[in-house]
Amino acid sequence: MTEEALAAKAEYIGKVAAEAAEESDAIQRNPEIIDVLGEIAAFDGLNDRFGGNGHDPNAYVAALANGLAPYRVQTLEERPELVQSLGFLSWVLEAQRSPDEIGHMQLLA
Amino acid sequence: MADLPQADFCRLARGGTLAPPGGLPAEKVVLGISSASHAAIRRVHNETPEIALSNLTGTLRKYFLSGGPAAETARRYHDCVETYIDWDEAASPATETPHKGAHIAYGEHIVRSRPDVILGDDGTGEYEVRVLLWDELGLNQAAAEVIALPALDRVEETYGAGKVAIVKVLHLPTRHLEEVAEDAARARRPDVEALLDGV
Repeated sequence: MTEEALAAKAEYIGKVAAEAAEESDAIQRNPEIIDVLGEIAAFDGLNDRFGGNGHDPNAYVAALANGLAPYRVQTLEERPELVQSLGFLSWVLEAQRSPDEIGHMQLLA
Repeated sequence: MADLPQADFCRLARGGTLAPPGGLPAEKVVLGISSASHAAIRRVHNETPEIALSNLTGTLRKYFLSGGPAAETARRYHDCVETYIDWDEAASPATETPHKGAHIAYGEHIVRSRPDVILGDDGTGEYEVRVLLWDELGLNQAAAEVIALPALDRVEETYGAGKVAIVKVLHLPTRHLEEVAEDAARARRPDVEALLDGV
């Protein structure tokens, strides 16, 4: 996946995250977010992007996709942790972050 | 054609700019705070203020512990919810606490209108509509009238024409309230259309 493609996906994920914080039908209106997350979950360079700290970001993103999948047909209410994780993922993907920055923010995601 | 969520429309109405796609970078990593705070407002009316605050602080505790901008944002949103509870006083059961936007058309444009709280008056059959503002942009009467129109249209679309007694626009960080009568909101239709044409 090119840097440009990754940035475009990051922007899209961030857009959906921002909508989901305000509107419970954000995933229903953007069901393709699940496929985008699936593509990112299969991305080989994800570990580097997350600072290569020994965690398993591919599993993290796959779990996020699974967690959001039911909300393609249901409203996403009372799930701030899923909204938070989308925002965090967008933030990590949109630019190179330092391991310290990622380490701090991933505690919130 | 503009298709704006409520929050973006409210920013524009007060002279602000649209957030970049995906939101502001500093806010993006703490979107869970915003989501939890909106849920807390709904809970004030659908459960109790005590439960609303209990749930919110439970969700926010990890942000407080993290320090830095996340803790600052968490504190700001928590204060806003406390302000709302104090201002509201009654915590009356709401007719509706919308959690998704309704598409309201102005010419070729759409505002995804999502008033925060709709309170019904059994005596008059009319509704009080509340729109809450969480950001730092200021509020004045003219902006409140613009903000009120999509909320008014949304409620009338659901409950019938002439059913809105008042629209209250409350800027939570400053506790500044503007009350908008139905005719004042209606008179702002050209301003709303011009605002959306400019997007």
